[in-house]
Amino acid sequence: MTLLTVDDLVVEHRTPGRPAVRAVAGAGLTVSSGEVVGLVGESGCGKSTLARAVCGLVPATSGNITFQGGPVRPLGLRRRHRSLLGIQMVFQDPYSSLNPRRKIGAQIADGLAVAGDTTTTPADLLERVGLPRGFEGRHPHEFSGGQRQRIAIARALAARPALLIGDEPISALDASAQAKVATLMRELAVSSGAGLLFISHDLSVVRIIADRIAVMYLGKIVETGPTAEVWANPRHPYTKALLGAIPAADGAGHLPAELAGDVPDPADPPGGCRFHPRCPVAMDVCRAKEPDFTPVACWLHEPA
Amino acid sequence: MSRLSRRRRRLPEAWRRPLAVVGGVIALTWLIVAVAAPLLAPYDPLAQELPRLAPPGPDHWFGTDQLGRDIFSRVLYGARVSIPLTLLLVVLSVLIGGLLGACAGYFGRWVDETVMRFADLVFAFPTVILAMVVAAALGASLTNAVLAVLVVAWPSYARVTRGLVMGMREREFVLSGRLLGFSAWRSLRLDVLPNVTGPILVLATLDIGTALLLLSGLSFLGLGAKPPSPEWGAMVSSGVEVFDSWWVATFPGLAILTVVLAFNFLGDTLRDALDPRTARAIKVRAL
Amino acid sequence: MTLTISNLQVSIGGAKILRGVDLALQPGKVHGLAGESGSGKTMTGLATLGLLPHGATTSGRVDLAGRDLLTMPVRELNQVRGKEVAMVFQDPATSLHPMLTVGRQLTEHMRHHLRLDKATARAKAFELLGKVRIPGAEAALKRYPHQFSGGMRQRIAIAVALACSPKVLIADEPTTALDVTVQAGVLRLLRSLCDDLGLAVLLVTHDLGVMSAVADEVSVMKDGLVVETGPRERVLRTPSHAYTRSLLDALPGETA
Repeated sequence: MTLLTVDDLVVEHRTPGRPAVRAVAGAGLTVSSGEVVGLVGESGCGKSTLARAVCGLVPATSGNITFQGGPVRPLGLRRRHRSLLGIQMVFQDPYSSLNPRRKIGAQIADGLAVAGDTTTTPADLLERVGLPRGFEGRHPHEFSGGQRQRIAIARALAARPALLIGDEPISALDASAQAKVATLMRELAVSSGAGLLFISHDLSVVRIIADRIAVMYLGKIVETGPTAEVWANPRHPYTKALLGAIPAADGAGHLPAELAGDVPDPADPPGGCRFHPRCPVAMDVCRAKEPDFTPVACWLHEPA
Repeated sequence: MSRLSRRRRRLPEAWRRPLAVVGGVIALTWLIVAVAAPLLAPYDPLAQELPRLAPPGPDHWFGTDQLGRDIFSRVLYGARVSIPLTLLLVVLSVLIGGLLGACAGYFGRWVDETVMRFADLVFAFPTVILAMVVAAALGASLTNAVLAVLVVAWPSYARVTRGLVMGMREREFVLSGRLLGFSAWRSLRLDVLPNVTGPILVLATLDIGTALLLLSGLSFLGLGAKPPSPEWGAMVSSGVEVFDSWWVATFPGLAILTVVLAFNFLGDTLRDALDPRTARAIKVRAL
Repeated sequence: MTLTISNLQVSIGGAKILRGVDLALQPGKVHGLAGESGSGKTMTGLATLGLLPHGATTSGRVDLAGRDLLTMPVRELNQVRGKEVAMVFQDPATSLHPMLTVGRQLTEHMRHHLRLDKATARAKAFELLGKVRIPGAEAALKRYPHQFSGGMRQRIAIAVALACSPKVLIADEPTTALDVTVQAGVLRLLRSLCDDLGLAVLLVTHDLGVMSAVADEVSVMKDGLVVETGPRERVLRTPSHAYTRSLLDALPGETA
């Protein structure tokens, strides 16, 4: 069952006196219940903005976001609408994702209150994210980054979300904690039947937890597909470049391949295919027309 | 864990510096004096039965004034007038300015525009002059002087709180609370305000001196406390009339000075204790 | 041996940060220093520059061409820093001065340390930007750091570090703040500089993939000690220490 549908989403950041920056420029995405979708891309590609739009934290300029059949409305100053409480998010920075002045038990209880759950206790949730039950009376500063991120996950999960979003939830953690926390998020989301949209710039972590991968470049999704397939046979030249740039810890001393050029300014994206100035296989059509199709937005892979 | 123990070790360090100790001792002394003035004062502060304008001596440590009142007793009783009023004044400014600033910062748009334009309006006038105008318009009395100072004091709290709240509003735990369905009020109360109190507390402590000075200043100008009330500013004012008898104006003036200094020292200390960056600077200097 | 650290111990406020570190850097080689946050790898990098926090007590020896950097007077140390040993930090946004042009930052060191005149320094700065592959060097000299992307800024920071032709380059997590495609370029640059200029590079990183791509020698640190050291291929393929193995096992890509 499709839980979340993002259709032709455009999000613009406006600063007075400057041209509007299209952080998300017509992106489409779906997440089903029990499915883990990994959204990857380089910094500034708009993946975090997309996540925030799905939560209603930034308003969409155009396009549709549908969650469980209803539209996602931007979060104003009023309380969040009940129908949207099923979307919860785990943020990037473990040092600002918890209120430093409140005990973690109380913060997890906020989530339980949303679900109307009176039988589960914060201690139960701490146990589920792999922390001792007795920690509920402690304050956030007593924990390491990885532990804090586990607590933030417990808080979000306590609300029994149908869709959990992780916005780079592991990028600030130690390498050894990254894979553990990511796997934990996957297990907890899938076992509760929720969908998980996992945003990361780290493809190697996304690879082990995502069922499906969506690759984003300059505000657009350029390739989607089952993780194993994309990993084994990336089709978009950008996906190829991303995968090729990951250095393997095999001791072989291979220098990873370099992708020429910089990410263009989102306020002034190149015409035609957005990737063509950096693309090693760009053709004439790439400079002229934007490839607006799925699952691979590349003229080399135009659907018949 | 080590973060915690480091913090514990750092906090007393700021408080151990000489200025912090001096400030603490003076402030505490004045608070005790304010509470225990009737027990400590040798004479009735209002009784006019002593020799007039007697210089300081063993009978009257601070001398007597032109109406034959013991200045030492009046200075002690003055603490009961000035200190509670100043504290009340600062607390009210923090509450009013803090609440308005927090609303402006959190809700933005027209709330922000309205509150901050009023604050700008107050900022546009010189503080003392505006306080004088307000006090004069309301009529000379101690209550009105407090109101006048309040009018000029709240905007600085509003401005600081607004800035802090605006920064805090975008923090991830505040957003995550909003995603869990917190109302704006709950978010403000639980997530935002407790995390901005530190700097505001520092500002308030530093402001106690300024408020006392302003309040005594209004009394000095005849816009505040009325005789025979033993208010320090008013006492300095009456002392100026008898210029040759230096003791009449000097001792209440010294009282004002010590209280202002003490709270400034305390405010500095509090700031250093709460702000790790300045605290580190102290550490380096000490080494 | 260009730079040798022997039995380096550092403690701050009673806490032992380094508990006897031995490390040797060789010209033309990249020595990778791995470990998790808190293992002391950054402190080791700082110690090689004599850049230790106030109140730190040290023992051991950091030997640079027969001189001990730990006991060297500050005046002399200032001559060594930048001229003989240079450093590149994690975040180029903060390690470059935001208000000075790239040209100024590049020439400043050369004019101070090498006593070059303005024109010579400028010509050398131009050459350096070419060396770190910044396109349009002439125009780039007149621009400010914020006008460059993160990857370009890190290249500029490397150029600044190389300005006085140091023998040793300490790179502390130089690619951690960069995207993976940009990282690839910076790693290639580091490798080629090391090969072409005969630099001795100490690469501090938590990323074993990065380590595997550019390092010749690898040392793994834990709790202020080097637990394993050896040639890249040996350490990463057949680690002898359990901790190195656990680091490699925690990597997502390799086991799945």
